[in-house]
Amino acid sequence: MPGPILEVGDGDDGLVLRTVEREDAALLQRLFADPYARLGLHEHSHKSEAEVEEFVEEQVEDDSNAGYLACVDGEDAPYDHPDEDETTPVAFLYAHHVDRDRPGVVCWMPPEHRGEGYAEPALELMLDSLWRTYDAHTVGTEVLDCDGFTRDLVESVGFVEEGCGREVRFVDGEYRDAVQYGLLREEYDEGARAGGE
Amino acid sequence: MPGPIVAEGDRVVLRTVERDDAALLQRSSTDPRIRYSLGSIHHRSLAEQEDGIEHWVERDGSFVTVACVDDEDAPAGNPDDDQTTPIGSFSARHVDGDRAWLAYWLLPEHTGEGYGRDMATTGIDYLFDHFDLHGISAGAYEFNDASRGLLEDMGFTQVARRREGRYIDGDYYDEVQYDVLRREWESSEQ
Repeated sequence: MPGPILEVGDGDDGLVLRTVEREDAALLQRLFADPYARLGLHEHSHKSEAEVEEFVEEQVEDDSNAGYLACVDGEDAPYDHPDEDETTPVAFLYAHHVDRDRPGVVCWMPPEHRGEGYAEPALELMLDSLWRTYDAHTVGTEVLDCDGFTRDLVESVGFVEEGCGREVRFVDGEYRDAVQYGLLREEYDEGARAGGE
Repeated sequence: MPGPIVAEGDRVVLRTVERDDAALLQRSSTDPRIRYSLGSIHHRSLAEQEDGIEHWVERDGSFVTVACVDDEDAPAGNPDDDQTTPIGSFSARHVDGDRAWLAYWLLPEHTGEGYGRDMATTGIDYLFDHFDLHGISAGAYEFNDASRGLLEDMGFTQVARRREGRYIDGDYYDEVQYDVLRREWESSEQ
């Protein structure tokens, strides 16, 4: 299960960010089985649960990276460690190199939670947390051009298309283009003001 | 001194990096005339650079060479000090995948002599000939006219511009990305 609360959304839908714990490896394992999502982690193949536990220990827990599980909490879910029936993890959000100028963002939502309306607020909550915590000047993300769900998601929170690596990744039988996105802190701030937040 | 010849251009040869070449490679992270455009944020000591040779240069997946200008009597094997002049370095990362990333530089005292293009085309020809690459990528900061001009001359396409992606030399600058696909490189006359 995810751990304590790191950020609380401002809606009344119970959306929060919680820590990634080692026992969440089984959930994250599904990300590595998704050929589109694993691009952002520079991985080419699936991993065993033990390998994903290592990924949590060595990458997610490293201070130069930041990982979050976006969760939908029940009414009585605590700031502390929740019980299994108190919260539902709906997305994994990750940024690597948060100690540099341009952290790279990865967002992955298991297919059964897509379309419930949590993806966009979860990514916004994660970006809020990044800007509050680290002095990054911009954030970037790379998405395969055929991954429409993730492209729509990052564009909805204001990421700007900056170009496209041509035929960078061999996925699902073809070389695919990887779209590059960037978002400047000042653009995000302006977007938040324009949105009335 | 650099070791045997790996690839031969018209005027430039690419030779192996030996462990005593650390002082040469160190220049890429120290010399203020080149280190900013190379994005070398952390300058390195000689010992760090020696460590880098063992852990990065010699790793499978890295292709790192010393670019040299040979004298007429320089051997294909290990040259003596007075038989060749190291002028810079040509390298690529991830040559064991299908997409490699280039890096190359010339020592400031050897720029403007027309070696850059010979070094780069010789290296890229070698990469496509000997590794199963689908394409090659390269990046340059927006202010690096020499590197960008060379990439464009060689047929690379500008594919992305990461806005204000790096704090370097006192400000945030755009990182411009280029790539070339094998079929494009092979169909062009280099």
